[in-house]
Parts: sequence; structure tokens; C-alpha cells
Amino acid sequence: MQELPKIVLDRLREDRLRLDGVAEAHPEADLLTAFVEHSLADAERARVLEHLARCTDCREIVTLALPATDAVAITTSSAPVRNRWFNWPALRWGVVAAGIIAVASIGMVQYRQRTLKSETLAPTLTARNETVTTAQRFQPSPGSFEHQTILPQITGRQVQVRKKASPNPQNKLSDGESVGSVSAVPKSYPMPGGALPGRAVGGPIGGVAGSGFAPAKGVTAASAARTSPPRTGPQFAVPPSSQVVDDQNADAATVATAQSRISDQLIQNQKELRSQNRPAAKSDVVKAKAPTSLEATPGGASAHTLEPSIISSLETSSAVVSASPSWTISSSGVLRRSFDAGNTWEDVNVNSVAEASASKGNLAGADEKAKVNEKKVRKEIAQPSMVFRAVTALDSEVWAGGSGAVLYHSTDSGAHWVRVLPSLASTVLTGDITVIEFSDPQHGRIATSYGEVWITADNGQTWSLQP
Amino acid sequence: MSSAKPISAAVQSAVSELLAELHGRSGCEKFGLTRENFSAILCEVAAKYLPGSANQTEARTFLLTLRVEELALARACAAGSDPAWELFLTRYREKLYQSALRIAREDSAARDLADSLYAELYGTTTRRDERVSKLASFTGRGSLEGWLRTVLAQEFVNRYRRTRRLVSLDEENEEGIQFAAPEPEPVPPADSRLESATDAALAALASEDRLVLAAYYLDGRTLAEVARMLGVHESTISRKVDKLAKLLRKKVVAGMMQQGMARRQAEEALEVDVRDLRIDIRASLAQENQAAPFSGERGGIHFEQRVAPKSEKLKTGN
Repeated sequence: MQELPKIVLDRLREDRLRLDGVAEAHPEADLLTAFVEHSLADAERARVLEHLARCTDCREIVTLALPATDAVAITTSSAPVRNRWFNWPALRWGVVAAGIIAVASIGMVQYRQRTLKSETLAPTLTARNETVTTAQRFQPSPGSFEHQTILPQITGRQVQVRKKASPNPQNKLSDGESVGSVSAVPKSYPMPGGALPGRAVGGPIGGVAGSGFAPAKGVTAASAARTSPPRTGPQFAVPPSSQVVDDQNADAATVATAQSRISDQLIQNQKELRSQNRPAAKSDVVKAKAPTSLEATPGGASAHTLEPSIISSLETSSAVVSASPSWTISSSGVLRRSFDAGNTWEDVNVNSVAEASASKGNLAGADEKAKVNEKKVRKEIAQPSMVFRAVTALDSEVWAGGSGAVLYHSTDSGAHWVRVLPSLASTVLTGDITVIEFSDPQHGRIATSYGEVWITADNGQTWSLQP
Repeated sequence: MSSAKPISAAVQSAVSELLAELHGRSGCEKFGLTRENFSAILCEVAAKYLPGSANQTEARTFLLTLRVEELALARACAAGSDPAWELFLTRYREKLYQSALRIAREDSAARDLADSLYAELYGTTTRRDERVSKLASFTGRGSLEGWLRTVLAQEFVNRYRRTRRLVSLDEENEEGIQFAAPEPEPVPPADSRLESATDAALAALASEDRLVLAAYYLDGRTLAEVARMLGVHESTISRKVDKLAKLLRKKVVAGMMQQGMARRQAEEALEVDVRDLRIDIRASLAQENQAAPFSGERGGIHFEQRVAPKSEKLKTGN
């Protein structure tokens, strides 16, 4: 800032002294306040300005009484050092520099996002791709259509990923996982007996098994577990739920065919694994496991086309057997569930559960980076606006609600969701849902941020407003 | 409050016209202020600030800019209404203390400052056997919160001035270093032409410009503080200070040239200032202090008798 010549400062100061000589009354507190708050008429304001220009004390009072918006500025201002940074040239160059930095960082972020996306998508797609190739040998199931359509687009990427992955043993593991999930993709092949132990094992891996379509779960987890690295190995030793499951399953005949199918497929998987030069330890696990599942197969290995009825029966059975997950909501309002008593949590997207679970197969045991990437991708898929605040679960019945009257209901532990909008005559539930309570599947109540309480006595079909 | 101004007819009619609306807005009922009380308050405020010649429209506009709700609250407190005090305390107790802390910058001093203000607000000073609360002087021109801060700041500055008069000379010297703002520096003997040219240049400035210069250069305020004082952006003040400093320099030189100085000579005269003389002055100042330790004035001031002695005396007598 420009220096004032000393003489000018002195005369400026004397100006004040002359005022004191006149002994003009200081403006009242009212006027000084109104001056700072700009509520004075022009004439009055001019008078106060003139006084302030001459009176140090009143200037000090006004400065001291400034509102606290910039408390920091005031405390630091006591130092008489003047900041020369606010010179115009500095500001001008600062603006230019800030602009360049902004453009560069935007570019960087965009670039990073793009590469991240392709990296995360690639392993998933590879997995699906392989899936399709194996699956094609079988009866094509409804679930595999989407994979087939994806296939042509991804071959290029797949090669790229392979190259990248091969020197890294961890990446190979994730490849193995993909192969594992491959066998799972013909989702509609029912195999309750085999599937359920797999499910029990699959759960701890990272909640993989819990996600997505009920029928696919068991198979996915089972095969994923077989091909997965040693850390899941020990869990095979104790498949307690398998017995339970076997007991519960009445239709062993259908199961038999299905199981034989799967074991066939497993053998094929093994072959593939070996041909891909798996690390020795892992192939051992695979080898060790394969015979057990073969032994477990009660029937012959005749290949049958599966009928829809079987699929549906399996769907129900696996849904019933599946352990009810625990539910929670993250601090950012994301709905999450856990199949292993809270050791690992997975985000649940009520809109695209299917999508999320389809890519889940690769997740178990995959290296951390892939997990993180996947999360990112899923976040993008998820609706950002949905913020959950309350969740309650009774066995497989799950209710989740949150901001903006968002209320979802699932009857199958979160595999499928239906949006519910409680309404009564002309009133509709608005506001944020803060509390959900269900005493049994039929009776429940919901409290909103507006203090309304909605009650249902028929599993959410009709609602009434508690007075 | 004791504005003995007669209430003009224009003001009275404007008040009666707007009374219903303003009374409704003020929420007087809560505090037990009747319509008549409120009408009297409005008349008093309007009479205090409006010139006698103001017509009804002006009075109307004025009344509408008042913060009637806060005015009613303050006056009800002054009248001793319990619900009003309750509301006042819930609204302002914490803020008042925070402001005191910001002003005094130290906890115990802040408590002291706030307590003494509370005493005044409750009305400890007895006048004709009547307790008069300081809140009775609030007129609703600005916000009550801002008013409280200003009153605190006034109290603080007064107190500072009072204590300054009581402290010993040694402490005063230290204080002078600590509080740079009101420090009157010795004025060097200057060319009379330079003085008159400077005065003319300063007088030509708008009062707002002089305020900016004084706050920035004399009080050592930051640009941000000056900007907030005037309610403009900091960069505006930054540009303004720069521009004014250049302008003043140019004008002073031009003024001296008009009085027959060559440009070069004028520019030199402007640059030759205390900096060259300071060493001498400092040395003589020290002597002066020893010679007259009980002068009661700041060391430097009397040394140069050029400072108008009358005004200086008046100032300390404030």
C-alpha cells in the first residue's frame, strides 16, 4: 500500500484535534449502530461519517462493535502489520494462477475417474466373459443373457487386463475368483444341497453370498469359495448349515440332477484353473474340494434341462434357509447389511441390488484395490439422493426409510425391494422417516421428522395416521 | 431521552396513522406495554431524530425503518417487565458476554465489562428516586444486539481512557507503545506552504475518504475492518486507499506549485519529513521526560509547541 507523506498524516491527525476543540458531541450508540447497519438516512449518515473521520474514539468504538462474523479477522488485526498481499498486481496474478490450478485439477480428476472406471470394470467383465463361455455349454439361463450381450464389447479390455494382472499373484487370485463366479452364473441351476454349505462359507468372505438373487447366491458362494485363496479354506472344514439344509430339503431328486451339473462344471472349472497356471496351493484347494462335492452328489450325472418350477422351488428354499442378515445405516445414510454378525458390511442399493450382486462374485477375496474401485463404481450407480435414516428387520422382512419420505420394503432379506408410500385419503407421508418399528410382520409404525406417526396392521398394505 | 423537543403535528399524525401496524408488529402485548405507552415512545423517538420541519411522509418513512420489536422489548425491560427481561436474557445474555470478550480480549476484563453493562441495563443509577435503565435510551434505529455491542465498546473505550489518566507515567509510556492508535507523534516544523497545501487537499476530500485514510493510516486498522465499518468489499477499500494516497500526494504538490514552488522543490518538501528529524526529537524527548515528569501529558506532546495547545487540553479533559 502507498505510504502517505508524513506531513499528510500529521495534518490528518490534527484534523481530529480540531474537532475535539469544537467539542462536538459524540454520536449516540444508536446512531453508530445504525451507521454500521446501514439504516441511516443519507443526511444522518453524512453527519456520522464526518464525525468518524475526525474522531479516533468513535472509530474505535465502531470497529470494536463490529458484528462477530469475522472474529478471526478482528483478533489478528490488533497486529499493526499491514498486509501487502492485497496489492492489485498480486491479486491479479493470484487469480490467473488459481484459474490454471482449477483447470488442471478438473482435468486430473476427470482423467483419474475415467481410468478408474475402466480398471474396475475390466475384471468384472472378464469374469462375466468367462462365465459366458462356460455357461454356453449349458442351457442358457435367463440370467446369462445380459452377459452374452456384454461379451463383444469387453473382449478388448479383457486382454488388456490379463496382461496387467498376470505378473501379480494377487490379481491372479481375483482372476480365480472370476472363474469361480463363472460357474455361478448359470444362476438358475438349482443345487440346494451343495449351494447351502457354500453359502455358509461364502458369507464370511465378505458378504458375497448374501447379495443379489437368492437362487444364485448359494452357487456363487460355493464355487467362489472353492476356487478362492486359502483364507476361505479353513471355513470349509465346518459347514454346519449344510446338514441343516440337507434335512430341510425334501426334493432331493431335483437337487441331485442339479448337483451333478454343478460338479461337472466344477471339474471344468478346475481344468480351466490349471490351464491358467494357478499357483500350486490354490489348485490344491480346488482339487481337495472337488471330490467332496462329487461324493455329496447323490444321484447320477445325467444332464437335464432345468425346468422353471425347479428354479422357483429352489428360490424359495434358499431364501428360507438363508440366515437373516443384520442391517445398519452408515453415517452417510447408506443402507448396509452384514451376514457375519457385523464383521463385514456391504452397501445395499435398493434400486440396483441385482446389478450389485452380479458383480459381487468377484469381490470375495479379490485384492483390496478392486474392492475399493468397485465401491466407487457402485456409488455412482446408486442414487445419490437417497439417504436412509432408519432400518428394521424381522427375519427376512426388511423395512428401510429415510430422507424425503423414502420407504422401501423387502420380504427377502434385501434381495428385492419395493418402494412404499404410506398415504391416507388425501394425506401422504412427507418429510424424513426417522423411526421404523415392527412388532411383527403385520404391525408396525413409522415416525417422521414432522412428528407424524403412521401405523400399519397389514404389512404395509394400508396405513393410518396416529393422532 | 430527555429530548425536550416539541412533537410536531406531522410526527403525531404519522404515529397515530401507523400505530396499529407498528404496535401489532412490536408484540408489545407480551410485555405489558399498552398502545398509549408505545405511541409515546414512538413520538419521543421520532421527535428526537426528525428535524422539526419534517413532513408527514418523512415521519412515516422514518417510523417504518425503526426496529419496533426490539424497541418494544428494550423499553419494556426498562419499565421493569418480567417477561421482557426473560426474553432479553435468553436472547442476549450469551451474545453480550461473547461481544464483551471480543472487545476486552481477556476473560476477566470481559466479565467485568459485561457486568457493569448489566448494572446499567438494570438501572442502578438513581435519578429522582427512580431507577433509570440504559435500555430506555435505545431507540430502535439499529438492532438491539448491535446497540449492546456499541454500548459495550463505548464503555470499554471510556474505561480505557479513564485508566489511562490514572496510570503512572512509566506505564503510560509502555501503554503508548502498546496502543499505537491514539499516539500523537511529534509534529516537525514544516514549511507553511506545505501545511496549507496539505490542509487544502485534505479538506477537499469527502468525509468518507478521510475516514478511510484515518482508520487505515492513523488507527492501523486492517483493510477488512475498514471495509466492514463502511459495509463495502475489502478490495474496494484497498483500491480506495491506494487511489487516495496517490491523489493526495499529487494535490499537495500541485497546491505548493500554485504557491510558487517548483515541482521539484515541492516534491522534496513533501518527502522531507520527520524521518530526518526524528533522531533529534527522540533525544530531546528523553530529556523532556526527565525534566518534567509530572506534566501529566504524554512525553512528546509538549515538546513541540506546534500542536494546538488548547485542543490538546480539551481532549484530555474529556
